[in-house]
Amino acid sequence: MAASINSLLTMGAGALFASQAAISVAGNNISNVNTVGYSRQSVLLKTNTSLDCNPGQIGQGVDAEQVLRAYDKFIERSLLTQLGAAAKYDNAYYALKNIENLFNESSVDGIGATLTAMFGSWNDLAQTAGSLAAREALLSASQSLNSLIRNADYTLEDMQAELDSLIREEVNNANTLITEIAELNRQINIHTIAGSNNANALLDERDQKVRELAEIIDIRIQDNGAGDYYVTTGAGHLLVQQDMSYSLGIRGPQAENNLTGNSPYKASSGSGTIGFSGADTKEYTIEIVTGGAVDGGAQFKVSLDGGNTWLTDDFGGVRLFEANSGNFSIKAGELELWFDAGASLAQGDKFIISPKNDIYWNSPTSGPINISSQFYADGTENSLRITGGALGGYLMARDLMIGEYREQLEGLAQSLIWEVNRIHSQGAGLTAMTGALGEYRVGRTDQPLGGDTADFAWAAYLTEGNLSFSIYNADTGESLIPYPGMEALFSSGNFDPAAMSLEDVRDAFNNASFTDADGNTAHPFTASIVDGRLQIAANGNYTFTVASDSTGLMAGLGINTYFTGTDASSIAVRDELVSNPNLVNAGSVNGAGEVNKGDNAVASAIAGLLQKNLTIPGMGGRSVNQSLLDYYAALVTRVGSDTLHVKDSATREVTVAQTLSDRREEIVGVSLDEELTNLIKFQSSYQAAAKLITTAEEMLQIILGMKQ
Amino acid sequence: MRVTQNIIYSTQVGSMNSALNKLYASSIQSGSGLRINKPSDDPLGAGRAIQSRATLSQMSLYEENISTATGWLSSYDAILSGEGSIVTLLTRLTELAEQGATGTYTAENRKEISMELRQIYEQLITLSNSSYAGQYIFSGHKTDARAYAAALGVSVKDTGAGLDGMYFETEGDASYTVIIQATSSGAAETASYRYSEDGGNTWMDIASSDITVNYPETGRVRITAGGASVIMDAGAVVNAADTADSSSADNGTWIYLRPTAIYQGDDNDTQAAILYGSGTNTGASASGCFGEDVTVRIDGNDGVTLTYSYSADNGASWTQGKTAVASPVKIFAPGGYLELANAPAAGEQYIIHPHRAEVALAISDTSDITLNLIGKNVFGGVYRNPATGKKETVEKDGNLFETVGNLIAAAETNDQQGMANALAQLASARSVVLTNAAIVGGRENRLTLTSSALELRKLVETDRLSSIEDVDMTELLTRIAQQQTAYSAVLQSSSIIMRQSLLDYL
Repeated sequence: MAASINSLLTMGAGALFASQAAISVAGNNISNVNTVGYSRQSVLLKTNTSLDCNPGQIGQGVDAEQVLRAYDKFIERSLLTQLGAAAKYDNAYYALKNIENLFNESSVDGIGATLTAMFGSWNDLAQTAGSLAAREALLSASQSLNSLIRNADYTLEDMQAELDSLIREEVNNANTLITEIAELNRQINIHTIAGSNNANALLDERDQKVRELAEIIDIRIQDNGAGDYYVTTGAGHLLVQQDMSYSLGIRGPQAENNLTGNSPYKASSGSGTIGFSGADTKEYTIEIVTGGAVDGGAQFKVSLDGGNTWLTDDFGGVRLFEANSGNFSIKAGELELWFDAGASLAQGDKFIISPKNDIYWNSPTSGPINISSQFYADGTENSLRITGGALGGYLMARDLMIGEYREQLEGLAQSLIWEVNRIHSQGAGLTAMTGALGEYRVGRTDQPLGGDTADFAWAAYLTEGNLSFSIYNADTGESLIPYPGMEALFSSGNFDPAAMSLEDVRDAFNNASFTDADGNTAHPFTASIVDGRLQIAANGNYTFTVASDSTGLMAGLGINTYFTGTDASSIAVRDELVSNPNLVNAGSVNGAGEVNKGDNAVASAIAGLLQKNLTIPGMGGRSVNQSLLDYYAALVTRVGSDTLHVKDSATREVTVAQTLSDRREEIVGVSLDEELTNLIKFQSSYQAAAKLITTAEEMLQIILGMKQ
Repeated sequence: MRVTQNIIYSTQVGSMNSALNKLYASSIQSGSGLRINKPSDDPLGAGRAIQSRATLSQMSLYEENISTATGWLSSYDAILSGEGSIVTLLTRLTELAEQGATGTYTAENRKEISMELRQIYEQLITLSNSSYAGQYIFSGHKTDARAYAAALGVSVKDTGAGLDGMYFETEGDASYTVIIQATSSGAAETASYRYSEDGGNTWMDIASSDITVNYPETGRVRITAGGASVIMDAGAVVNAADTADSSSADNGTWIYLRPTAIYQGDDNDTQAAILYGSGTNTGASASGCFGEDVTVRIDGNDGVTLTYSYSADNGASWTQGKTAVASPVKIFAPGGYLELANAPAAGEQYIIHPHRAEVALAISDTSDITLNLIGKNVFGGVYRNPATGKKETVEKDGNLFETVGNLIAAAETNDQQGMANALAQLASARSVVLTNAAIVGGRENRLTLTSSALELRKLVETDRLSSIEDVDMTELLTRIAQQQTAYSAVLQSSSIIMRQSLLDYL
């Protein structure tokens, strides 16, 4: 049997249809040349099954079987990883380039120049120790420095808050994308008929959304075809499982337990977890080292990097903290910690505190799991957490960079406050004092001032020793204590920070006495504790000055100090000095019990601080020995090199992503020249197919005409 | 490889952007003249620039301090050895003393000399009260108080030794030397006296009502002679003078009330030390010359060796691991020694609290310069010892004011021998003044040396800062030219490529 004319017509119709389909697809390609996420499509043409006949097999024409989209699994996968890395650094750079300006001193006077200027003002005061003008100039130089430091801290905090809200926004975006991807998977499943119907537009849309998700958080995909598609985080937390989705969430500061199997803490009748207050950008891991009762010997250690390194004491050993209840909570790092009263702890019990807003993966089986980026001391990241995408970048900027800048700025402010106050508090101004209210609060007035439980900002700074005062007649200014004009405050044994509380200090003031020139015993002070602050007042017709202090108590309690505040956000000049500059101490009580106008000992000593190497509290409880200015310069270098590193990384990663994107474009992008060529090609084949039909028709006419 | 229009567009936009970015960065550098315009331009350089700028401003401070110190020291120079200075006054004093010591001079001549001596005395007080920038420069730390006030001083001539080392104080004033003579022997409060206000020409008896016992405190007695009084220890033995002998011969007890000056500034020669905490050493003492408070902490005592630490910043930092012999306890600390009567126990702290009078300023990272001379060490006079609360003659060879006072007393009482005696004192006073002038000169030399060293360092540091943060203009301009060319090339090639399309040929 030979091929029929009818089959020729069918063949022609098929060819016509195929060309038309190809032209439609080319048209669609041209239309979508600028559509984001669109993949170039093409029609898969297939020869129809041939029929066995005489003179043998004759083809049955063409079948436009399915419309395919260009797709390269390998590039798509690489691109996802790369987009995450690019977004991470690009977004971190966005945050840092604003921060960098805070520390830019190339054209304006920043903290460094102002710090130098303030110490210069102390030097000016040393030149004319009795001068009121020099005091006024010093006060205003100090205020400019303080406001710069406070402003820097405020701006950093503000940036952290902005990053917090960006993180919140991105988590919402991610959640939306995650549900949309799951929904797309469902639709793709409905529309896909393997081998004939491809849901190309839906697939494009899903790929686009996955790429968007990859820019938010580092992800991996597993594509088993059609809707059998999985998305996980880089660390393996499942986000999309075919048409099911798992969300991310943000949770505020919280603690979680990780108790040993038979820990007695499980039986605690209290909160059953660790209590804390305060905030930090680090995650705290607390491990019980010595089991035992809370308030009764249990000890713990603290790590700020997930247990890689532990906080150390002054001698480099792992620092042990007493596990106390809320009545005697312990200060560790930036946090106050406490356990349930009356409970017991077992060795190995762990508690993890996240004192910040963190991102959690809402696990279908075990509740929220913290997946916020965690950075180790050696510069690496916890690979079981978020490591890429905008979220990775924001978390890196917020916690690792800005968090540590603030910590360093705080170290600078803290040392500045302490070192200046330590010297200043032992000096004497142009007028003696009649009383003083300590600037610094002690949370627990019955606890040793130098211990972890006193809730006292300067606990670690106090040393064993004593202090002495000079007492004067308020009317004549005459020194009342016979030569050498001063007497030790703690008359029976020195002040011991490990044993004596604020109440003991108060009692020492109340018990202090001196024998005046007439041989009478006189009590110069009345002391009391007001809201955790020490208040001392001179009795009767006395005034007093601090003569010397080898304990640091005056500086610590905030009496006769220059600065107030404990950190970068609160540093200020003591109000009293601003209203009465005569109280700025340039000199000190000399061996004859006198305070003289020309004495510049204190002013000189403070001016010399700028050049002096000081022990400055650094990152993670490790202190450094550096001058204030070198410390600040190191901070600027750090900010600069972080910014540069992030910027360079962003440039590099974005370039690589662009290259991959170009490679993807090479494969899936629409080339107008190519589509125009296709148009011409299929137009011709369409004409040829039409010719086939007319030829067949003519043939039919000829055959029909043979009957007549 | 397939090239699509989108690849071309994005590549061209990327190239234009990057070329323009480079040009922009260069234009910022050329605008500011700085290579580092933000920390990330050169993180290390930005940090070093901050340090360098701080070093420079620290050096300006040292320069200021040097100029202040130079001001003070030139003042001393002028006062000690310039024109109308102490040295010229001393020369005149010596001339006058030599004249007065001549036997041919009469009482009247000496009276005339005494008038010039009183003028010189006034002049010396004025010089001692010199000030610089509103601060009295001889008063130690008491820069708001005049260094010296005119006062009555006491000299004694006695045949016996009953008044040696006794306490004297004066009250009131006298414009001419007052001589008080004991007219009977015995304890100061029971003896009788007469006095003369005209150099011994006329005498008046002192009524017993003018002898006040237990004034101003128990154990003292006040003897009032006209407008001036002397206060001395009750019980001190005086000897009756031969009233017939009117000359001031070595005869009985003679007390002269004559001019001196009282030092009102502070000193740096006493060191107080007190015990901190409980212990047996309440009577700690220190010797030496401490510039600041020094805290000594006893770390251990095994009966043979003491270990201790000291701190010059009131306990903020300690120098540890020092040892001393356990008995007798003499502990070294920077500036001198701490001496304890009893063996101290570990944990005890002692604070050495020196009298301080020196005003010092830093002139380099490691050195200070003392600006002032302490008046007491230059002019002598009388000083109220803060340790005892009593006025004492400044014990020093060449006590200028005391010498001048004695000279005036000798001239006013026609005491030829007294004037001769003063010559040796004047010579020592001159050497004291010259020594101080040499100290000032030495300090000025140090300032000059430090100042030139500082200038050099400043130059080097300025250079260093410039090499850190300043842009190399030649290099920058060349770079800008290159970048400009690159940018134009990108623009041109883009405009050519992007215009091409197959449609142009269909």
